[in-house]
Amino acid sequence: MNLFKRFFSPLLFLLFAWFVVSNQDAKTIIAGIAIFLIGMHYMENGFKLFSGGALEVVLEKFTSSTPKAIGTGFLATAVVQSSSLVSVIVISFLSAELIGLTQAVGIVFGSNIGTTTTAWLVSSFGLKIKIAHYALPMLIFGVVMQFSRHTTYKGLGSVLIGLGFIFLGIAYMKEGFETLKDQLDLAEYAMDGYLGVFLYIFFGAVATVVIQSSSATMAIIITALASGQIDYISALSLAIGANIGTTVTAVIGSMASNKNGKRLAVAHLIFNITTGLIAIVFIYQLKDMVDYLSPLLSIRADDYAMKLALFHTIFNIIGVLAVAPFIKPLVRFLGTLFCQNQLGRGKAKYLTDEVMEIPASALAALHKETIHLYDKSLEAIVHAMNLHRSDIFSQTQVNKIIEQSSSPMHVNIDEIYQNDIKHLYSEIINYASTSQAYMDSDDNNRMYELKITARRIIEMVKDVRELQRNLNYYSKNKNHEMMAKYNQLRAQLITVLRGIQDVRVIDGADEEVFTQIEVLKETVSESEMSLNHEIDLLIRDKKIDSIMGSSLINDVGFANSISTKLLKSAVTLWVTDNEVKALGDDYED
Amino acid sequence: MKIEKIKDKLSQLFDLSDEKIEKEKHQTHLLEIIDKLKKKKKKLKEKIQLGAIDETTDEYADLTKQHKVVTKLLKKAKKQYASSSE
Repeated sequence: MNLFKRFFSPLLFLLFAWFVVSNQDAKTIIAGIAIFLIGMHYMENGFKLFSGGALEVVLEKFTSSTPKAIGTGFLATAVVQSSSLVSVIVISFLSAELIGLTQAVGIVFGSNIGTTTTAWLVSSFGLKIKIAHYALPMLIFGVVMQFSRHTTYKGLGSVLIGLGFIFLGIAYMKEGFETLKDQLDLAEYAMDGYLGVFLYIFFGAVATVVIQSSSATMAIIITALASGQIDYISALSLAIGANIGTTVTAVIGSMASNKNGKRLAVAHLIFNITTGLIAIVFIYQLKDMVDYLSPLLSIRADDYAMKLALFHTIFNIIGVLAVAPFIKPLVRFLGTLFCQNQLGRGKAKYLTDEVMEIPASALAALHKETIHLYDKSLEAIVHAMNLHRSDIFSQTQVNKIIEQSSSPMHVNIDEIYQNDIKHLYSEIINYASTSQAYMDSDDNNRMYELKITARRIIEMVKDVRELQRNLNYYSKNKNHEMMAKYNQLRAQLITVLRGIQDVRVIDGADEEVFTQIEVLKETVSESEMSLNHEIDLLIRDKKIDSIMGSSLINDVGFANSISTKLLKSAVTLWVTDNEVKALGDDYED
Repeated sequence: MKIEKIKDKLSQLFDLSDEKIEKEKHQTHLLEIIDKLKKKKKKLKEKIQLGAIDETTDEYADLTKQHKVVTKLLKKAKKQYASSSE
């Protein structure tokens, strides 16, 4: 492999360079492809900025049933003209458990139909209008809009630049194929029958794997067809090949992805192979169907470019109709794949590298992961205080829980921290810092908030380690006053944790959530004051000695710090409205 | 340096963000919050004044605490609204 990279890659590159430099027409066509690909890249990035999370909202909200998911996948891809952007968002949502595998598969199926709109765009606007005339103003205004500080306008600028380049790329390809026609007629090499069909399917697939974009391949096929370089049936075969080739690209791309990405790639593979097989077997019948439908859609009999676009859409719709009834068994099958790599103890559950560049998705993933860190740390805190999670979140009275759980659990907090929590925390920090590079100031602030919360959660675990030492020591001590005070601290923690658990299930009422958290804050503050006063009395009445007193005062401080950090984390994690958040006083850590 | 200046000028020219609209949005939102808090405060006050709850119970103490907190939040929300109107 290394040998190939070292010797063959430069050799191939040099051969390619020689081919491009020595062949004027090929140069124009290849430049057209390159410009088209740059356009796709700009459009994708522009939509990431321009949609400002709207695309994510649509993909999350309108997928409750399979037909809805298919429709949403179609519309989203048709609008943004990028099935890979839609796939990336779907994988991130799947990882963040915002949507299920059934919805995700539905969106991917719909996205396959949506991607056929590129063919319509190229065959209608691309060939019938002198789009290069529109491309230049688009590029000019796109670049001007890039100067805006506003992310939306910047995004819109990128979309315009993208469209401009796409139009320009199509114009170059068209020009290249038209000039090439005078010297070389590829249509002469067309083969009749299924041998020709298979050969062109192979060419279409290879071209898509090399270019890494089925849309670009479709643009080449349509422009070549319009200039008469290839015949109609070869173009249909090439389109089928492009569909198969895009699956290879998706499978290669998913290799570095998580299990959700891999499962979706398998769904994509199954869909495209089924669709491809149907199209190959019935290619002549589908051609007849296109001939029958074309007049109904006002497509001229000799407008082969538009007919190809129609063929592309029809066979993808037939593919969806053939596979959609089997979504449930397909999802069951997908659920059994890639399970061997179970989640490690300290591994992140929701952070997927693919969405790092999409601010809204990266924030959603990080928000979920911080809650994951919170829950993991909560377990450590609860066990360090000799309590069980099940007791805390039960209906049992606090006093009863304290009575029933007086003996030390001897949980090694250091070990839990090293094995479970520290690694997860470092993954969060790494992910946050990397994705911040793609964010505007508002998103950056939110990301910063989440990073601070993650740090606060880690500090809670460190605080509880200090508290645990004395708690276990004094639980063996015969001084009942000391035990009673430590039990008061445990009771306070249960109250705070129960209160936070209650606000987690309040749906969509930030004022209510925030009020409850503020009430808990008030309780913690009152409890600290009264505990300190009681400790003073115990020392004065010589019921505890000064060493015990100082330990207790320190531990009240630790307990208060844990409670405050818990409440502050709860505000960041479960209150979304910044105006509501601003009503609170600043907490002292 | 010149390019930076040109970029700034262009940015000012094409930046269509409207501070006034943002401010109005912010104020409307604050008014909504104030309204919700007022309703909550009224409800809590009614519960406390009804006398149906024993004043020595935890429930009563909790209601009083909630009332105190809501009053504080309401005051702060009003203050924020007043300062945003200036």
